[in-house]
Amino acid sequence: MTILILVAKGCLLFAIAVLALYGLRHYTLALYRLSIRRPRDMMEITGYFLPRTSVLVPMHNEEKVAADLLQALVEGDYDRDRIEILAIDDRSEDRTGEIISDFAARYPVIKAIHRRDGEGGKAAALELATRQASGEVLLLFDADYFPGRAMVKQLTAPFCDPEVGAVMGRVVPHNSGSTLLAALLGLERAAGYQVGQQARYNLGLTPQFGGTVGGVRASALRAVGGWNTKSLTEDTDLTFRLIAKGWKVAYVNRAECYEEVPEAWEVRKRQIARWATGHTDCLHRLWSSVSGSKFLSRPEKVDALFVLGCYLTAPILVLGWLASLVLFFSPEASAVPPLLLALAFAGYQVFGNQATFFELGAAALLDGDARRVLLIPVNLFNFFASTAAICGALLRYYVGRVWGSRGPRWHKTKRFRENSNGEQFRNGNGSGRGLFSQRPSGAYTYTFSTESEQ
Amino acid sequence: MTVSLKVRMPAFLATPHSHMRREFIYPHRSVRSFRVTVAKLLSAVFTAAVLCGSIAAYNAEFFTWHDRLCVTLLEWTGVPVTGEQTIELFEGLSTAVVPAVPVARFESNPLRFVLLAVAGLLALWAIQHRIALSRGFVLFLAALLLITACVVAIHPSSQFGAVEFGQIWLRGEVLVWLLLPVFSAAMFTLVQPIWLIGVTLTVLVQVFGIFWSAVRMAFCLAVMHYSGILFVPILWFALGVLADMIYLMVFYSMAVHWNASRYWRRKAL
Repeated sequence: MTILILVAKGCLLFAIAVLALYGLRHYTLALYRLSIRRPRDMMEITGYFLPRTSVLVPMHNEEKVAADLLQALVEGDYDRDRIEILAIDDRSEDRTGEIISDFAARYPVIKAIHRRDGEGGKAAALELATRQASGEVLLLFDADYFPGRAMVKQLTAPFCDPEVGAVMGRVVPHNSGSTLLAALLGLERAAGYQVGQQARYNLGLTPQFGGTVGGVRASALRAVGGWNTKSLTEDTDLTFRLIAKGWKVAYVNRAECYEEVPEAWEVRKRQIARWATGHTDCLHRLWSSVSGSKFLSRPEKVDALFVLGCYLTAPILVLGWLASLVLFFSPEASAVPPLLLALAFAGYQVFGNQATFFELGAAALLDGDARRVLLIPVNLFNFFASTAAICGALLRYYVGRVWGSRGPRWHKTKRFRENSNGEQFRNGNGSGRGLFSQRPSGAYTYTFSTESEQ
Repeated sequence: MTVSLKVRMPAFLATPHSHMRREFIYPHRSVRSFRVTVAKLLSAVFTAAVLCGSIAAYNAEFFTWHDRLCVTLLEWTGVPVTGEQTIELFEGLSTAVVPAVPVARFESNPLRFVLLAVAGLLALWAIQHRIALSRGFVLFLAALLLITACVVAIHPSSQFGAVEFGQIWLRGEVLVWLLLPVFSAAMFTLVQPIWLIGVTLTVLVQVFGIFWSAVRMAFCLAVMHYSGILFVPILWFALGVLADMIYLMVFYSMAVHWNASRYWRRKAL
């Protein structure tokens, strides 16, 4: 019993220490972001640097969303002589390939790549497309995104700095009004980008390249060995390989691009499980090259390790809770602990967890999002649900490592757009989705018919 | 069967540079920053220091108010209060008084305990079944209930009374009261456009924290009176420091809501 109590105390202290550091980091970033008078921005130089650009769009069974993205890309205002759009039909079993071929036939700027076999996963599709790309800069979009007309100009602007190896834009959910979960994820995304990424960029730390609404310099990609097709989070993997080799990652907060967030918890669970597994896998592979990099300052290294280890906070949190439980039932519970230790414990339990919510509020304040911010207390359920999903994913990951399994597998995120006949673009459709009052009402309508009908 | 594809687009989108399309799409009216002035910073530090100092200096009075409120609530709900007992909290703080309430024990009626545990588990299962988002949290509570039931059944000596619970409860809460001003000053005073509103909110949260602690403690004691310590770990987890976090978040979200609305109204956007 004494050993158990001792172990519980050790676990609790460890959890307090780790989570207090994360909490402090969140508070610092949020307060700093709120007070930045002039965030680093590339708006002033947008359009003045137009490198030869290849836009890579990997798509696996994306018939619901493919046309919307391709249409938005061809409507972009980037110089047509300097851009190519590589639409990759990545072993799709639905009509994605046909949609891509149709667009390629109508718009010479689009090149269709049909991939029928080979390794699964987004990184493998990107690897294939990168070999065929001719651009100095490779921009990436997932199929469920809606880039604005100037998006390519905004994202290529930071590459005028020869040190910049990758750039990241801001991701904004367009369906955050559809379900409670989507609204909560909308808040989370705002905190992650408006506060976290911008504050880190301003502080000279590393904003993360997210693998979509972003780009990478082709020469930098080659210099670090290309895409890691084994990684579930090829974006995280690339970010840290780039910075370890001395490249910088730029963040453009005004390069806002719409995405679709999961509307159902089961989908979210799989998504966050994939992120947690891929991220933690990157931690194991890259922590030594990041911490030993001669190109990174000490604060950059520390922050990079914070980012790489962020999903480990979930099991550490649960460990802390379990340790509290053991101490609650033990005779130690009635012994008087030192006041400072107890203060640290309470600080971790109440305010350490609160720090991420403070970030949500800061983002909502900056975005003028007065209504959705009222959901912050409800986000606690999302927090607990995510914690459980991450713990499960990491447990499977570590068990797999011990037993020598094939490693993590890729899961495609389910799309929630109801159809591709334009319903989502029409104003006043009653769904209350945030995008539709802002987005021009357009519709890309597809009619599929058999030969006999024609 | 060959599937062919026809593309129809609305006329206004047929031209690539239609007036309906904008160069930049902003989903919201994002601003660069909020001003954190020296005056706000000083008022936050001053408010936090005064509140922390008040709790440290007058903790005996706060404990007394807390106990009176708790006893009143228990009496209102018909739970017998057999007396009050003085307890030690931390060195440097005064002693506190907590109400003594008779607590049901496992040995006196094991069947009742089993039925209550099963009912509790079924209720939690039903909640997680209906609300997918609550699944992680509710399953954690269910595991907690199961562990408690096993511990109580195997080691009945692990059961404790209302006074011990009061001691555990107040130890947690007094720490929250001491820490709360620091965090709420940072969360409210710094981000409010008018410092006085920030200070008022900070004080309000502190007062609410003490009041709400008494209400939650009275509820927990009432549950203990009828079901022993079976549900106490769940309540301690869900209504303890977590509940402190929730009210802080509620206040914070309302403050940000008000602040954001007011700020944007002022900018007439």
